[in-house]
Amino acid sequence: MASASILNHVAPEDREEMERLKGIYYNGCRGCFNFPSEGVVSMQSCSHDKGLLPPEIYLEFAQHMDNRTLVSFSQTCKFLRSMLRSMLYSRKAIQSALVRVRLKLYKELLELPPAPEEIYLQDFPYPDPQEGSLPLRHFISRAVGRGHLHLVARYISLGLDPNVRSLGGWSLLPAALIYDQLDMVPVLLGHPDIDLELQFREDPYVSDGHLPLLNLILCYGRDRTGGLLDPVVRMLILSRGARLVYPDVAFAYISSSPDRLELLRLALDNDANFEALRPLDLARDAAKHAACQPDPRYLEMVIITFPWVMDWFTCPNIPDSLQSRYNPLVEAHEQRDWDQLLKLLEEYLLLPFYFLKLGHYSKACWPNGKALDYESRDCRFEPCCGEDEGSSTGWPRTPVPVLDAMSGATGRARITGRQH
Amino acid sequence: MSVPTLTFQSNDGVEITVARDVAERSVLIKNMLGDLGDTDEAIPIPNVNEAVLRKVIEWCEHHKGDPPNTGDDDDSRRKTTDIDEWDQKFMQVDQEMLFEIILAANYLDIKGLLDVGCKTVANMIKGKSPEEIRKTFNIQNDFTPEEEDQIRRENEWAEDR
Repeated sequence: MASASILNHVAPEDREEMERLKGIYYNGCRGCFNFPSEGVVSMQSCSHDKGLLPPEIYLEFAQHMDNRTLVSFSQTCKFLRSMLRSMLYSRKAIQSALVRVRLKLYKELLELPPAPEEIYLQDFPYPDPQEGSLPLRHFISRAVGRGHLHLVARYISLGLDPNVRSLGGWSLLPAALIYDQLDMVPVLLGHPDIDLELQFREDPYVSDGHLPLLNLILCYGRDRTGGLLDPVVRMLILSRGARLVYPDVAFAYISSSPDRLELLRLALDNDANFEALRPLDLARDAAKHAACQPDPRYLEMVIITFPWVMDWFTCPNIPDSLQSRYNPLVEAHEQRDWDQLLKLLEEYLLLPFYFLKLGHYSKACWPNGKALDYESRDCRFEPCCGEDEGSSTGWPRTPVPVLDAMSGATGRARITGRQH
Repeated sequence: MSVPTLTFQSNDGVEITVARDVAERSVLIKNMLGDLGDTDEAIPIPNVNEAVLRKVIEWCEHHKGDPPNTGDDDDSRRKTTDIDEWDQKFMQVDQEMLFEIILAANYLDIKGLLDVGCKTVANMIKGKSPEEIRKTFNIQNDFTPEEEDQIRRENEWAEDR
């Protein structure tokens, strides 16, 4: 039977269960050489019961535990569950009160829309939100999704972990991207504890759950012209050491950026890996037109940086009947005639696919394996800057500003472009 | 004038002499002396062996000058896992000995030592999953998977501060 000192701490409805269970069942007492197959109740006498702790000691341990540990502790066995339930309720009530006080405080401080707690509590799936069963991470996740920037900043400044996940398992940064709340991104990235390798979603059935953050931004960030994503990507590559492990996507992104020269240089300076790059990939897809347009200097930089990409044109897989078509490309490359090379690549772009039955050509895809949807309009995969819809070749006719990174200019934009 | 002493006898028959003020860190001993008066006979400590008793006395000697505990209602000693540096070193023993010290402190009613022991254990299991805690304490899991699921859902609230 449970001792009186324990029962004093327990609500009447839990006492019966404790009486029934008698005590904590152990897998075997530590003193026995042969552990009994049946559970041992600590409160029963055992000649070898050294090291088996009576439940009142567990109650002492629990007094010193934080909420999370206490919850885990109470989930170890039925007896501890019953014994600690009253203590858990008490802690829960305290936290609930704190949450309400904090929300009230936030509302007053931030002049949020009326009753923000009601906004955040609505359609909450758990039964008892008023009693504090709603974790704080739910609030910040909602605030991110709804674009309440000040609330998010406030939560973060008060010490809430920026790597928390929503109840659905989403981490905050990708959620901000998915919900088009891009102004949240710098706030979250500004936190020193943000985990750039954090999984997108804690769900093994989500195929892109493993994507590193930068690639998520590249995949899901939609603001290609608002000027926000480029600084974010730059910040990630430069100061936070983000890795470009999916060069296919990263390169397409960088290529379509108005600041492509600068971004490419940043990526290279930070050991970005562009092994997926192939010259026909550059030329073939609308997504990668941007890589070699409108300024041949970009192509020049790419090929100078990765001279091996030209090996593609002389590789043994190319049938002899096609070799003559590639020779001018090789010659242009050898002569460093970037305008000519660009023009030739443009011509190759117009070759029908069946004409290029090359064994090692691989169709571009998202890093998660999904094929790119060329029909949808996505700025990253179509030339979004200066595109002239009347162009028969798909090349832009309008000069596009690019940073003159080749000449070493430091951030000063210069209008340049290929004249048609 | 010589310091008044008491003699304890551990459950394995070893007698240990202790200064009275050190021994009175134990509320059990203090109350016993209050009830029975001074004694020259060895006081048997039936639940504690020599090694553990020496550790307990070592702790009491170090803390003999500490202010008396204010009792169970003092919430300030709760919910904290801060442990004094000397105590941290003192508690660097194997798990078996740690539990024995805690049991002895509980039996002898030495609140300070019990707190230090419990804080050490609380620190030891901080951040562990229920399964890891079961392994630490050798506890048998008597929940069904459905019950475990339900309890986990009930306790979502504690996943944040």
